[in-house]
Amino acid sequence: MHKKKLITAGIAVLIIALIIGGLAVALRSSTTASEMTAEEAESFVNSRLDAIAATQTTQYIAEKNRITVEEISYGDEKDILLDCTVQTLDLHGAVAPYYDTFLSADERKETGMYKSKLHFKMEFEPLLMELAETAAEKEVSCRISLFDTHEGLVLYASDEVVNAVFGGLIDIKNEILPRTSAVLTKADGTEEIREFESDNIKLGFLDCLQVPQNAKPDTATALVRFWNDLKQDFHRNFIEANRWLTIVKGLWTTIRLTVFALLLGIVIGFLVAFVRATYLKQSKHGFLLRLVNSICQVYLTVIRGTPVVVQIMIIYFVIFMPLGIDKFLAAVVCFGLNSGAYVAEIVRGGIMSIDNGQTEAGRSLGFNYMQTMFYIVLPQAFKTVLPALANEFVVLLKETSIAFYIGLGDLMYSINAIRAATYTAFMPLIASAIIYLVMVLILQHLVTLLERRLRSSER
Amino acid sequence: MSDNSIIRTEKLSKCFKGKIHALREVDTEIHRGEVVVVIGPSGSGKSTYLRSLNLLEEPTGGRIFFEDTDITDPKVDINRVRQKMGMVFQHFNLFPHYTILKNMTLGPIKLLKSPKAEAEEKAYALLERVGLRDRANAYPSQLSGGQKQRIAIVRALCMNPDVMLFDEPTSALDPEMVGEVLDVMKGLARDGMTMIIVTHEMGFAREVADTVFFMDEGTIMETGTPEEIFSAPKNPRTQSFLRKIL
Ligand SMILES: Nc1ncnc2c1ncn2[C@@H]1O[C@H](COP(=O)(O)OP(=O)(O)OP(=O)(O)O)[C@@H](O)[C@H]1O
Ligand SMILES: [Mg+2]
Repeated sequence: MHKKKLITAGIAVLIIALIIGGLAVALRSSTTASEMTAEEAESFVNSRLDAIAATQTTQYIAEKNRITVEEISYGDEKDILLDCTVQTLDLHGAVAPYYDTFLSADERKETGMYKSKLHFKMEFEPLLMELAETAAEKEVSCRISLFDTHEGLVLYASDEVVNAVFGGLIDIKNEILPRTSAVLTKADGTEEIREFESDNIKLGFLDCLQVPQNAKPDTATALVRFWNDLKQDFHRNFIEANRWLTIVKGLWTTIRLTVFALLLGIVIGFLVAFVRATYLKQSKHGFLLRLVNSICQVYLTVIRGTPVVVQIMIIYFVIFMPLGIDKFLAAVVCFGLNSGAYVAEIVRGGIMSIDNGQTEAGRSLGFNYMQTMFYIVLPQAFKTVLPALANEFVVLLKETSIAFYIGLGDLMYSINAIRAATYTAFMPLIASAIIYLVMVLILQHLVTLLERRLRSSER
Repeated sequence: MSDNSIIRTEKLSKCFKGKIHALREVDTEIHRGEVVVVIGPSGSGKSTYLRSLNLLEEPTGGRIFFEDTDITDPKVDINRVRQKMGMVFQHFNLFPHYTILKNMTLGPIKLLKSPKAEAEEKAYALLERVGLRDRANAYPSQLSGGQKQRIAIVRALCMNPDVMLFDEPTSALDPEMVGEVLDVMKGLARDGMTMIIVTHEMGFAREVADTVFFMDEGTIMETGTPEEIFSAPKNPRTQSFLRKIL
């Protein structure tokens, strides 16, 4: 029984996954980039590198560079891989010997204020330019990736590419950045270690060699993009602004509401069932029994003959709100009354289904009507109606979502609040469906366990 | 009316809704320690008579005296009276949701307010007597028909009744199980229990009955010792009934 349910749930999840997957595949555009020739690639790379060289020195190097594309290959997604040889200048070799000379510059002005990094940049730029002009030529090979994105071809200037085509620029950066001091060689040949008081001197130096690096472009396929959007949606709907807390609060209200309504429903249901079964079983009826039975009849007819939404709105807006009684109580009363009507009919059926011989055996031992009901009929009736009752409780749990109509802060209300705040419908609504489904499955599992325990006591 | 009368009916009548006269002014008297067997054709009112004695069937006329109380009087607490009248049904009617032991001790504990240990001790003694002591913790569904009926008998005995009523206690049993139930009833008869038994087991009736009632069309047509009824029936109805079944 339980296994069957798990399998059903598994199949449902599988179907949903298949639909989503299928959609993603359908949306996914062709994955290979359009082909290009070596010349086109070279000129594209050259122009792009010129464009990203942002300082005097890097521009100088970019102009001197000569890039030869040796081989073009195409990646898994929409990327083009260029294996290149680059004729460039060995900037690293030219600059490295002078690190200390640069970095031991005075950090303060005559006024005692720190020099800014811009100040240092302007101071170092011409000197670096001179060094660049003396730099030796060198040849390196590297792989440059181009990506065919929806905004056109993009060159991904990774550390590796920048280092190769700008003469070891990243090496320089990596050697400078960790430094905390520089050695100053004085005119008389003595040396002095200067601890940096600020990072301005390093940053000013590095600004002279700045190459803006760009993040790897988004060439993701529809499936990946869908997944990313999903993650982002998830974050926005549940993590951001602690929205999950709202859901937990709403869920707590839903659970409390269901439990209280259920208890009230059981009490009402058993009482009404008791009256109805007694009335139906006996041939002669006292006045009191006739009266109570009529009241029960009216109750059953009205509750089962009108929609729950109408009931809850009447109970709250017409009766409870004018009296100043709160929504939660109104909802408990409404769902308790509602579920009581269905429980009553289920339990009555259960009572009537118990063989009359059981009652006779009880009465012949000397039990009165109530005792016979309590010790003999009801325990057996309860067992037979348990599956139907469980079903009614599952219905009740789901039905409490209607409390939303009177603005009670239950699960559905929280979900809707999130929907309104994030302008997304998919995530919050799917989440509510999953939460309800999980609760229902848990409930059904518990009932199966209970049923099995009750059944084992008879075999 | 003699002093040791335990049950007496006066003009006991029962008329069901569809104008069926199941009992027509039945006058009977049963004495302490007497074993009465009620025989008669189907639909003659045997069950109705028996069930009227403890008011499971409410009479529509006449009176029933039990130990000199008129139990048809609405002021009488019928539940107390029923405690003194054990009843055994054709279909056993054990409580399927309780163990054998609980079936037997439920009444004494809840109604007679016996201490649990005492009630169980008595139950075990009775189980011992019917040879089912080892099944005390079984559930009714785990027993055979004959075993169920023996339990039903001792369940009634647990209440210390003054009278035992049996309505065809062996009719729902497979033939090989009839004997074990009749043996228990014979034992009871030997011990002096007052018993009223509706049955079709004529051999048994002949053996244990002190008195036989022959019923037809809602009245007791003939009363007598088994000897009188079975060997020399006077009423032509009795004669034709016995001719048919013997
Ligand atoms: N609850 C009832 N409602 C209506 N009529 C009934 C009811 N119970 C019994 N009768 C009728 O009363 C008459 C006597 O029935 P009763 O059960 O006492 O017969 P019986 O002698 O026990 O028969 P059997 O040997 O078949 O058990 C029958 O005509 C039967 O149809
Ligand atoms: Mg009968």
